[in-house]
Amino acid sequence: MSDYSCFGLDEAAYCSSEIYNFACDRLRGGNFKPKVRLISTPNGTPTNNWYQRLVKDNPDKIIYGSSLDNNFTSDEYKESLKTRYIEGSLLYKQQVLGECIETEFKTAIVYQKDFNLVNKGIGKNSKKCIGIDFAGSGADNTVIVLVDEYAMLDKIVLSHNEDHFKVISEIEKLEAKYGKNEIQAIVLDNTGRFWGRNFRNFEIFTSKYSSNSFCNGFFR
Amino acid sequence: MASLDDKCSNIRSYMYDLLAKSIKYEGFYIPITEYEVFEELKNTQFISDSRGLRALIPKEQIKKLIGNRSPDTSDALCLAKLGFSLQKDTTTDLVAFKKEMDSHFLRS
Repeated sequence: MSDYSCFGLDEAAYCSSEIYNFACDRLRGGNFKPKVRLISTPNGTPTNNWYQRLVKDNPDKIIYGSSLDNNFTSDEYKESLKTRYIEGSLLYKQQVLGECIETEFKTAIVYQKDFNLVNKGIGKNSKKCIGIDFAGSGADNTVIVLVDEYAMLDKIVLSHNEDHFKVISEIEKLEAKYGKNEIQAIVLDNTGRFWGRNFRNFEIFTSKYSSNSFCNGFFR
Repeated sequence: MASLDDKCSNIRSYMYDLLAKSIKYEGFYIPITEYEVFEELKNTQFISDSRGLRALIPKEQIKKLIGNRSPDTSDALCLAKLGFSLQKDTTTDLVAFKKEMDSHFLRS
């Protein structure tokens, strides 16, 4: 039989465009209007471009199967998904509702085992920088992040109640752990610039644009 | 030379742009255990502002999407990454960078 009236393609996102095209070529249409059904549950592995393009170009023809549709899971489980992924967030749309979300940053996330492999080579003997986002007037935390050129290596979160001496002590701990000479720069946000004035050879970029700016301080 | 190019609306979007480019073209890795950064970056999106420049969606909107908290970790991450752009420069270039930022904000 060389003619088909309907075909379904499972794991379509991982099939090549040739398979899709060849199958479509057989749908010549006679007594029945030919139908194509593609099924896929992409899970982070890069998918084929033709499939992505098809999904994006035909939003009205996509039926999303969400984690909430499954009648065999409990209401408690479904509620926990809403709480964990925060209803309405992009992550919720992707992980729970199964929508295709594109952000510029998604390729940064790697699994721990991959990260360890990456980190083994990259984290050693490479130059590093620290970024500090100081707690504002609200209930924010002060976050200190240490990176090298290719990976995020360390993170320290301090409660907004902690004073700035604690920040200095944490920086010194990082310097001891990674080597003082390895850390080339510490970049502060706008809130931290007054603190930075009293710490080391601090440079203020300018306060002219403070209302519009983010990064205001830099020292090495 | 690090520069606040004409494509970004302010230093904040410039820094996130640097991170995005670094991830896209050079490869920058964040362990998956850093769930907060994952969530913050996923919900940080670029838009075009009224001048056609690359801008970020308002921080308030990001806060709302990630559960009424501030994207502190991704902010700190971007600040840290900015350090490398500045590190590539000499002290003279740093002065030039500051001037460039001044001119950008005066222009805007």
